[in-house]
Amino acid sequence: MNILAIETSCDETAAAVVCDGREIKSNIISSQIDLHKLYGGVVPEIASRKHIEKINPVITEALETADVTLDEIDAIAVTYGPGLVGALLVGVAAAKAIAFAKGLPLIGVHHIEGHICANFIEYQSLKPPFISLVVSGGHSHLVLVKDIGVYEILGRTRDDAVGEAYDKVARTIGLGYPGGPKMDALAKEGNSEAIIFPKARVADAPLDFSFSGLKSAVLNYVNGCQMKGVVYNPADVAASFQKAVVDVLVEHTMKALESCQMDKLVLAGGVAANTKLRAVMKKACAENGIAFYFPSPIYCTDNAAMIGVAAYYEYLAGNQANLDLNAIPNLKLGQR
Amino acid sequence: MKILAIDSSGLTATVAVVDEAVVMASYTINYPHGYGGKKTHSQVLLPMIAEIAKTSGLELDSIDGIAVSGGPGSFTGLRIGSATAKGLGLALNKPLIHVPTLEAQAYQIYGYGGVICPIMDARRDQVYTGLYTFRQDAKQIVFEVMREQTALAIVDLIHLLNEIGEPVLFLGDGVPVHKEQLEKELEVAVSYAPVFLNRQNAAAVGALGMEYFKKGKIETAAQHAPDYLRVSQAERERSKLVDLARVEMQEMKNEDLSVIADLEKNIFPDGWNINGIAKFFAQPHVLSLTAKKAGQMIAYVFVAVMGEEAEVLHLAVIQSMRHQGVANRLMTKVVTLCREKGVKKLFLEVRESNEKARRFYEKYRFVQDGKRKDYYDEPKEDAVLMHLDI
Repeated sequence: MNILAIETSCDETAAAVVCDGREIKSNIISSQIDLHKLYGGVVPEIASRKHIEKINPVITEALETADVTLDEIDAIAVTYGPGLVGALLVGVAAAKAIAFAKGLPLIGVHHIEGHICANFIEYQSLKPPFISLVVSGGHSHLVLVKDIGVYEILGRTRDDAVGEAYDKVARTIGLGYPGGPKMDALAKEGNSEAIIFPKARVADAPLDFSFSGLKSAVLNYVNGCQMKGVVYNPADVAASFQKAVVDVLVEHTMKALESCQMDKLVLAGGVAANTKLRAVMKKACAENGIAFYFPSPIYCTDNAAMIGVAAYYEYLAGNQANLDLNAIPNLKLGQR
Repeated sequence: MKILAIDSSGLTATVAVVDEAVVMASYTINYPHGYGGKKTHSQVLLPMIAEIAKTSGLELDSIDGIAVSGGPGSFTGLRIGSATAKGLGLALNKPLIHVPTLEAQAYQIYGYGGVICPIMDARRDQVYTGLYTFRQDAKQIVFEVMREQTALAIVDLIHLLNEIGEPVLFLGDGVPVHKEQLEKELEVAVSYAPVFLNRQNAAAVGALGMEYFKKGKIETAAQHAPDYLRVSQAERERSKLVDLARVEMQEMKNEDLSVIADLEKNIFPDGWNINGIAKFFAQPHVLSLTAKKAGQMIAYVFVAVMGEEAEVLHLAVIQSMRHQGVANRLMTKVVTLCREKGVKKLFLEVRESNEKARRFYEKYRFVQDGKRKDYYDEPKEDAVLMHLDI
């Protein structure tokens, strides 16, 4: 079964052809990062306009790379939330039109479900139940995946998402957008013990995250240095910030694994590409006898292949969307 | 020839199939967000297409092209229509026809010989509008674009229509918003399209799209993108900053005087002539500055310094550079230079009717002191006196 999947939830226009939820026949991503760099972050209106320009060429390239025509496609899948509403709408409208014109089933996919399912691409025998840590520019979730499509959210961020905190701190120390990869690289040159930043915990919710306090602490530190005329080392700031983030993520994840008595951990989302997070998590998993799964960077970033994988399971479960499918910017995981 | 047409540029969701003889099917919902719940274009548009296709027995493959109302309009609404048309075009391998939104609206008033003026509310005191008419020549009725669609300040539209001086027929969702002002300020005969012709209608998009198609004005589904007529807010603000960074402020030079004399004539009703400017410029207590962009004069200011007090005499910004912070920067430069000269207080007077200037000075924290009766000539008017402690 060939699924043509479309993803336009943020600033990547993406399309992929996925066979039987496992074989990635094509995975085309057109990134707009250079466009948004000028503004220090994603500008929704600019992103939406770019999606309109790119959507057809990206779909066509996905079909050509997979060496299939639309007549050989069995279903159309599309991300319908969460994300930027104007951006999502482009993919949703195009997907619905193609599904209608070709008389194909339409499958609406949750973006985060896609990120989790990205792991099935490279770990063909991976099966739920497992714990997943989903970390990206817009999300920070600890999820108990009981089965595909059956989720229990164990912990979530109360304020900023991890990637968001990265972007803001990167801007403060002059690294620009996107902050994640740049901070990750700079942190390697710094001393993670140089500055002690607070590790925020949320009272009564041991698995929830809070990153805004940490972000403010970094801002205060940098401002303080500037006011006193002290020269700070951006690499030390990046390394120390990263340590505070990674420590909390790993600590909470281990707690979740223990409390649910799970022995499998699946990393997902854009921040899953962070080298420090992978390294520390890998070590902690090894020490605790946990099997650790994480996607290659190409499947960490927003992509349509993961949407095609998730859609396959939705399809098997009998979940199809109608032509009135709408974009839902704040779609909850497991919601329909 | 068969054209599938879509318009979701405003609050109306409308789809139609048109051939050379008849509108085969059309389905229009006005105010889809207001009537019967909270449906959006995203939810209704494709089901509407599916419905007309099903009920009319339309074979999708039999259509020759997809006409889409290409803007202006709501950015999101345009994209829903556009992405739908692009998806259909890609799947059916059919060309798209980009029909300007306002042109299709005007096309509904077929045969009208006066000025057809569709207006869509564009916020910020502007409307999206274009001017159209029908002309009867020896053989046929010809649709003419008098003025291409654009975003225009409502006052500029009124000025334009008064200048043309012909009867005007309005339509579009901008009518209820601006009706009062139009009727008050227009000096020409005004009428309005009847309710069945006063909003977007895909049948008109399809019929006009067919004319475009016959002239070869088509594009591929991949090429199509809406014509928003406006850049995004983020881009607008950024280009303002970039523009402002390119503005250079300098002391006025002799060779600037003739340019300033021309500007004085255009900007002030009682502007100074070249002799007056030259004489004034030569006086040692006068501080005169220019703001230039790419070598071109965009603003200037004259200030008379008298000990601890100074009077701002003329401050002007050329029309195209207003509302971009130029005057603000020029004034800040004046304040800095005056402070260096030991000035403690800045004075000025401004025409009472010049509300934009008064608002600017108030924002700059100038305080109103009172009025000077009949201070200005041509036309005679009171002056408002203001000061700023620096």
